[in-house]
Amino acid sequence: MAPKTALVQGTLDLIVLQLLSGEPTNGYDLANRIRVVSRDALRVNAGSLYPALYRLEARGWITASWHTTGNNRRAKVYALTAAGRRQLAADRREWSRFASVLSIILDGRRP
Amino acid sequence: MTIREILRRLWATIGARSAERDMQRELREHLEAAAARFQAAGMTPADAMTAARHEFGNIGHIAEQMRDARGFTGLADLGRDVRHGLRTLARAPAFTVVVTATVALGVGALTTAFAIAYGALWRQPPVPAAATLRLPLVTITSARYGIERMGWSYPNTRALRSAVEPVMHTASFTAASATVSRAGDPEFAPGEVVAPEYFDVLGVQPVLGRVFRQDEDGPGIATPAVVLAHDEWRTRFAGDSAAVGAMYRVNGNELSVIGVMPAGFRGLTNRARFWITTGMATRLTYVGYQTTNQTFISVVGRMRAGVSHEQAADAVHRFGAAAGDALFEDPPDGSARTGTALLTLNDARAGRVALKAAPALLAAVTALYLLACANVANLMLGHTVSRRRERAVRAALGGGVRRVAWQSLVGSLAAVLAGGVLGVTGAAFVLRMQVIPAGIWGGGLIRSLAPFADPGADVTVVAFGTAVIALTALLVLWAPAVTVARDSLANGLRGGARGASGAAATRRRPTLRGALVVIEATLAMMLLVGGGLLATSFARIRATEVGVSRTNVLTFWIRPSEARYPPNRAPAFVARVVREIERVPGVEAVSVDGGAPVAGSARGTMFIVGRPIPAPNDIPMVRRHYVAPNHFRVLGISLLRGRGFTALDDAGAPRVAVVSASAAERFWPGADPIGQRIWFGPGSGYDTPDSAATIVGIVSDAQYDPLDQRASATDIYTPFTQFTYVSRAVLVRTTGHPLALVPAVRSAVQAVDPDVALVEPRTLEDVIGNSWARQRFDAQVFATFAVLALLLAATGLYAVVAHGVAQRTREMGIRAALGARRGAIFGLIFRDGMTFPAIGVAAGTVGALACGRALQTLLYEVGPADPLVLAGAAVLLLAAAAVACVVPARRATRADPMAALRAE
Repeated sequence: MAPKTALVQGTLDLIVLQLLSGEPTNGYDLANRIRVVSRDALRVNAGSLYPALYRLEARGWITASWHTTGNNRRAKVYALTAAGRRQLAADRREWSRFASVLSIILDGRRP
Repeated sequence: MTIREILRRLWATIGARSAERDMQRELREHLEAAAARFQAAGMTPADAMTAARHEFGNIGHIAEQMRDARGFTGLADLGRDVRHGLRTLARAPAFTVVVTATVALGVGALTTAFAIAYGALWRQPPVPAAATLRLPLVTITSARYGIERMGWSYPNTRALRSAVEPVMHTASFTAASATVSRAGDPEFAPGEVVAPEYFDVLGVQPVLGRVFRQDEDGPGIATPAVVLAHDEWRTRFAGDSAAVGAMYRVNGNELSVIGVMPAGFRGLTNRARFWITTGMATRLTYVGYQTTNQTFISVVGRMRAGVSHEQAADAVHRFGAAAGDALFEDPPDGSARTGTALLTLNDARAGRVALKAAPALLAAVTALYLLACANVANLMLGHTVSRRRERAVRAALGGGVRRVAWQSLVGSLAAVLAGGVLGVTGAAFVLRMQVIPAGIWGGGLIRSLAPFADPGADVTVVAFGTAVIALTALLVLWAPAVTVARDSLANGLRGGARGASGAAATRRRPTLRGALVVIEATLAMMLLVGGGLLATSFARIRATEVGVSRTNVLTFWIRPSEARYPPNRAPAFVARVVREIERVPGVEAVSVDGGAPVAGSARGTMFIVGRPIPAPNDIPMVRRHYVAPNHFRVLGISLLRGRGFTALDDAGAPRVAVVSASAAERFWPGADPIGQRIWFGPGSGYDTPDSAATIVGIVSDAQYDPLDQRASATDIYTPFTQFTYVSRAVLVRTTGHPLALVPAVRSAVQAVDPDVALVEPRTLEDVIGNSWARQRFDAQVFATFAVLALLLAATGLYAVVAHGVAQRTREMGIRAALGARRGAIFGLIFRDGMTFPAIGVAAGTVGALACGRALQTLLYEVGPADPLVLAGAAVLLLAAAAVACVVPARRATRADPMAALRAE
């Protein structure tokens, strides 16, 4: 099993936004998706994910609605809003900048 | 937080219940999906669900976090939090009751004091745009009397009106009292004599009928008119609208009611029950109203739109300069500076005493309020700290740190709010009942306006009360809130006696709770000193020798109109009244005078025949008394030399006078005044040396002026039969209780003139007692505050020391185990506890000395730094503190070493 990496709250937000930018989904499937996309490196438990989803919704970056899924279940599906897309773009830029600064410090390499 | 977020959260609040269902459903779906996965892997449905739950984690905790993340927890949760808070309060009833009661006390006292000061100094009379009203006056500044404010004579008010008409619309008014009745049952009532445009200037419309027209100002109108106040209309005419046109008697004359003013309006004097024009006044109250040049009339003006205060003041000033000496009845001597002033309503209403006393009262009440807040804050802190572990456990069990913090404060907030509401309601009640007399400080031209005296709550006072409640909640909950926020889970669970009142706290390190106790002790010390000074003042003024025998004397006024009984007819009238009263069984002796002892007296100038007339500034002022022969017997004043007055000293006989011992000493030091002749100058009946009176006797001193004016007892008595005004105070010595004879005396007076009422019948004891009503009020209020402050400070100290002992039981147990004697432990706790009040006494003494000068004018024969009072206050405070420390100290000595070591 790949080691679970501790996630900072802000990065979890970024991950959720990114993964919801493709296809809207519910909480359970989103947790799976994170595990799959990170090739099992990241496992987010429900206790971190759901509060994060609620937080992002309160901020207006994602929105939720109830759908009936294939096997006649009702599922609450989260999707990115326009503001969410803007926030995602901004966060991605922040991260690249941060990553390059870090690599300068660690490796002495120029950007 | 953006607007959108706030709205979203508010929406979350409103839709709380559905949001809650939403969340539950979402979580259930998640669990079912997870269970389905486990089932697919081969588990039974039940096991699958268990595994799913296990994988999920602590559902309750996570749900709380989700609620936290959503924002406002919703009204349902608020309700739950409040209920929980109330349950917590119910579990600590003593704490709750003390907090609520203390907050109620602080808030109520502060609101009451504010309302009194507001009514005395700032509350506007019920007229529109009171801010544009002004009162023009004449001022004389002289070395002898300082700045005196004077009114206007009637001719001057008309001239002033024309002169300032472009900038200010003016009308004259005076307070006047008369005997009024509708059908029998005469009563002496206050009213106002006004120019016809008075109501127009004030902007007040009648609710019934009309007000005076311009042409209704002359004395010779066919149907004389009167306007009634609302209350007067209700009592005399039972609120019947047919009152307009009905008859109303004023001083024996029939007037027609032409209008009724709105409820709550009582003129600028705030007491008027009726209004008559200046023209009618010449017939009813004072025949010379429109012609005399005495300056007794007030003027109110409303500045026209766009006119500034300076422009109006200039116009008045120009008028004054042009009028010159015509402004005064006696031209002031050259050394005095004359001028005019234009006052706002507030300037005109604050008497000298109110300006000094109101701030003192407010300061004392604020001190008490802060003390109460400090006490409550202290209690809250202790309560918060001791529940630290409970909060930690609840947070660990899934409460969510923020929710638990909020919950623990909700209960306390509820207690504070309840106490605040109780306090404001109590204040409104006390004010409404007029338990505290609103006019206790007298007033200037405009009397004070008591809030809640009229039906309907006074918005300003209620708003103030609400603001005070909010402030109290802030002050009191701030420290506990900070403490709660700073607590982390781990700290709380680890337990132990650490924290704001841990072992070291009550000892060396200054802490918030200790600082609060010191503040409380300081405030209590200052209030004790203030209360002690005022109580001493009151005691001293009560003990001052008045010089009269005050028991069994009835006093009242008769005030027939001077129009009916001018000075040449007054002696005969007064003589008949005196004779009739003497015939009443139970009456020993009767006299009359210009006033009753200690209530104030009339003054006049005096000249001695044979001595050169002094310069105007040096003419001596004496107190003048036109009395009956039995005067000295009624008041118990002893005759020292010579003789008093007899029935032989009547109108035709040679004029005589009696002087007081102080007067004799002052004007004839070392010589015998008997045989000397004195006269009193224009307007007194003893105008010239030819009409002088011969002194025939000397009597002992008596105090006719209020004691705190410290007037010298230079009294000159002359028989009323030789000269008097008709308005008299009547003094009756009775064998039994004075008030029991009032009906009989009233009949006797009305046998002489049925339109004359007995005004304010009281015993002389009451009159004298009233003269120090203000000192008594001040002393009572401050002493009450001081006692309350002492109690609050003592209980606050007790709470802190007891709490400290409770936290230090382990330490005490160890000390005892190591061999410390009980006395040593007692001494330790006791000394630690007493350091706070000791510091407070020192700081409070410094504070009291600093503020002492401000109290000076309120004090009588006691200095602001009186050592006895200071020492007494210190002793009292330290004694109370000692008692507060003793109980916890003794409990500390009983700490069982074994139990303490085993605990934790």
